[in-house]
Amino acid sequence: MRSNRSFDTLTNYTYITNQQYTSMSLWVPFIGLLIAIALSFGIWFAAPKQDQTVWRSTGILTVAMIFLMWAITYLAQLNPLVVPRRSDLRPEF
Amino acid sequence: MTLIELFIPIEISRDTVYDLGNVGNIQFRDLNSKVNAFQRSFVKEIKRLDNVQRQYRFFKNEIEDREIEIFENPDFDVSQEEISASGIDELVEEGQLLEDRLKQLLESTDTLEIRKKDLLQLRHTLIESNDIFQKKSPDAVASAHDLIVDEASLNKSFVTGVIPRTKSIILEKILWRVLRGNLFFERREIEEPIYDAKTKKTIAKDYFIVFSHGYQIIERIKKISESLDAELYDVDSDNDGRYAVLTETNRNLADLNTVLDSTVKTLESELTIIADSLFKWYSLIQREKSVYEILNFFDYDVNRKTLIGEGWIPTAEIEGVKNILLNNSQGLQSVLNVLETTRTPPTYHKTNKFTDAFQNLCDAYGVAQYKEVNAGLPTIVTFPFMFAIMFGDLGHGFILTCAAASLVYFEKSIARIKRDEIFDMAFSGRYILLLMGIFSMVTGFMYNDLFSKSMTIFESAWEWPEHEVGETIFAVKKDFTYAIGLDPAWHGTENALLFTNSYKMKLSILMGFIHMSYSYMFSLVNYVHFKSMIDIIGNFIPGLLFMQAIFGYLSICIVYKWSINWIEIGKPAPGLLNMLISMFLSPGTVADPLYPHQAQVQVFLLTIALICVPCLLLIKPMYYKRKLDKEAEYKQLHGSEEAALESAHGNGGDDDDEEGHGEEFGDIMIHQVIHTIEFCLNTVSHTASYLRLWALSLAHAQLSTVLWTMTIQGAFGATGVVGVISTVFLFGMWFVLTVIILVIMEGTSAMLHSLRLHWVESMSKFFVGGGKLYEPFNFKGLLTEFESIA
Repeated sequence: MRSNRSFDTLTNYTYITNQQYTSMSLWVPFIGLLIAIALSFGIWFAAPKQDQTVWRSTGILTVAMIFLMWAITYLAQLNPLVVPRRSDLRPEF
Repeated sequence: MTLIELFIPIEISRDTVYDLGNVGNIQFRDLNSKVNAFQRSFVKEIKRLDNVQRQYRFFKNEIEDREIEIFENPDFDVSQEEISASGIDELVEEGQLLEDRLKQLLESTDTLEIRKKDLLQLRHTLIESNDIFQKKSPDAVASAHDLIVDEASLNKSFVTGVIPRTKSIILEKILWRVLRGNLFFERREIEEPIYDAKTKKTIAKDYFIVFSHGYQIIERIKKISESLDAELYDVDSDNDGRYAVLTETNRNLADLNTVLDSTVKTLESELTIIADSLFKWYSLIQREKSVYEILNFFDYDVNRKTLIGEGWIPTAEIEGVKNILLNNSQGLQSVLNVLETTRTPPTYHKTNKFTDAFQNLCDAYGVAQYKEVNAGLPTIVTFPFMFAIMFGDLGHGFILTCAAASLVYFEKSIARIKRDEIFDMAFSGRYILLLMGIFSMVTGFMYNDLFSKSMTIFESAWEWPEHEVGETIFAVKKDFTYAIGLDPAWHGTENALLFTNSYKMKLSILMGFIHMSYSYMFSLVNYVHFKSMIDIIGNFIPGLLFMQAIFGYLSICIVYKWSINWIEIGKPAPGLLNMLISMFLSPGTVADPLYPHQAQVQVFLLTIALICVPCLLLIKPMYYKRKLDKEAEYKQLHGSEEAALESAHGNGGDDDDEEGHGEEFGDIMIHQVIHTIEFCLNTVSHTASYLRLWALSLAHAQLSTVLWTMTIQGAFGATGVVGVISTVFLFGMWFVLTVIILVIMEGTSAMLHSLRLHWVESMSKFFVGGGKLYEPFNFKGLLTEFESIA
């Protein structure tokens, strides 16, 4: 990563000039978090009476893990420092 | 868990314990642990039952020798079969009768077989000798023929018999040497192999006849051949005599065969009947035996009329046991007492078929201390998910899910069939596999990997500019971010690895940190439950601060760095690794600032972390030091009385009573020093250990890309017959290798890594272990496989 920074920052200058974007996307993970919390509450109350603890812990943990996974993936792409680069694309694409 | 005491009158003890075994929720303590196994109360009964079991094993061997199928019902429900003590007596008697009868039958079959073998061999000897004597032989026999006829008519100068084929050549060679070639030896193979009742095998045998001169020499030949396991038969040199014997032999043989047949038939029908109920009998006896083994744990009261037992039972189930005692009372009263005790109860985690495998996963590392947080519960999700982070591929996850789902779907029928070791492991972990598969599909979706290909489900956030063929182009980011998962635009780009590398590394650090913090919180739950304030202050809080000040800070920095648009601000994005290193090596100076006042914040955090180390090291030992000093003061004042009381008390108790023995200050100090060093080092090394998530997921993605390009990609674009064949072949190759290498091999390795992350990185944060497993006396599982009886 570090070793490539100089190269990537070089390439990035080309795209600073034509990009202006808001930080609206930053709120998306928080919305996701709210959804995850809501889902967790839903699971807490919807868990069947038999083996309630197992249902609750498993369900809420699953939601939490999936939320984390999604949020990390989303955040990593929010403000990319690297830009996809390829030289094998045909003109149609 | 409650320790209970049972007073059961001897008369009804067997029935009561039998019923308790059916319910199966008491773990009895051995109250006679000092008593030798042979001196216990119910040795006689156990010996009797052992003898019956020995008989059953004997039946089983005989049945298997005759290849009769043993009726083995896997659904055989023990609790359905109630059997009284008199029923057991009947079984014992029946077992003895059957054994006697079988032994008799077997003995007579053996004698008959030996007799039959004898007759058969005699018959062969007679037929072959006849052949030789009458033969007008053309070649080598010719010279001997005169000798035969002359000598044979004078006196018997030949030896005939039957010898195992392997030894017939040896016999010939030995005789040749001993008699210096002065003999005539003829050997013929007997076509049918002959059954030997002693070894219970069929042996290929040869007929032989030796002619020679002189009485003494004949005797020597006889001795030599007998020493080589030959069986010799007298054969009349006279034709008529031989015929007479042959007819006689044939008749005897026919008679013998009829007798033998009927004996064997009786034996087999007897065994078939036994085979039908042998499994049931064996389990009944096995249960009876276990009842007496439990009764051996019991103590007698003073009058030797009541048995006293102690055992652990889940507190909620005491009422059920009371009912059992009532139902079995028969006019005699059994009593149940709840005991107060300082002993640590066994650990009991109620499991069902879903949680069982996960519980076993944790129990394999260590059994939780009584009332400690059960590591098995969070493992249900975290274990498969950590696996899935390393195994993220929608396609591979789907294959795994299908395999696991079929195991789950057919679990009833698979549970019945016999499974080999590896398959049994997969079967018992089927719910783990299922979750692993499902979560792999989730992470595969996040990684946007489907057999190493990407899916464009949402609109890509990158746009490719106008370009020529072969021109190097850079994508342009649109105003939003790809909604769920990795943007498909990265797929196939030259610098895709550069991005996923950074992404997955940070992912694994964040996941690892969160997993460890989550696990660390369980230690708080433990301390609160055991009301150990000193552990919260002296262990939990300093540890938490230390961990958060370093890696919590790093995690926040990672997220913060992501959330800033560095290009817009026009500043170079600082490297976080360098930042963390320089935070320790040169506190107070920041080369590439991430945010304002960074230097001060870092110095502050570093100070907290450094202060936490002596806190972790000293608070707990100092607390105990003060406590011990106070106790010593107290003892000095009341010393004499206390000591007297203790010595009087100490002798009365049971040996395995656990007393709160005071630890020395030195022990506590050393323990805490080790804990401190271990904790601080582990904070770093365990975080680094989570980087395996990064390494394995990258390796998995790369491997599946390589497999795709090496195999099936080569088939695309090929046309004609060759194209068809190569497509089919390469697809097959790709699929088989995907399953074997990517799903099975990579899956196993990812699973082991995930297991390590749980056992070491997660469980070391809170798990004390050292508990004893709750193993109640229960008839279920007493005899799972009939195989085990042999």
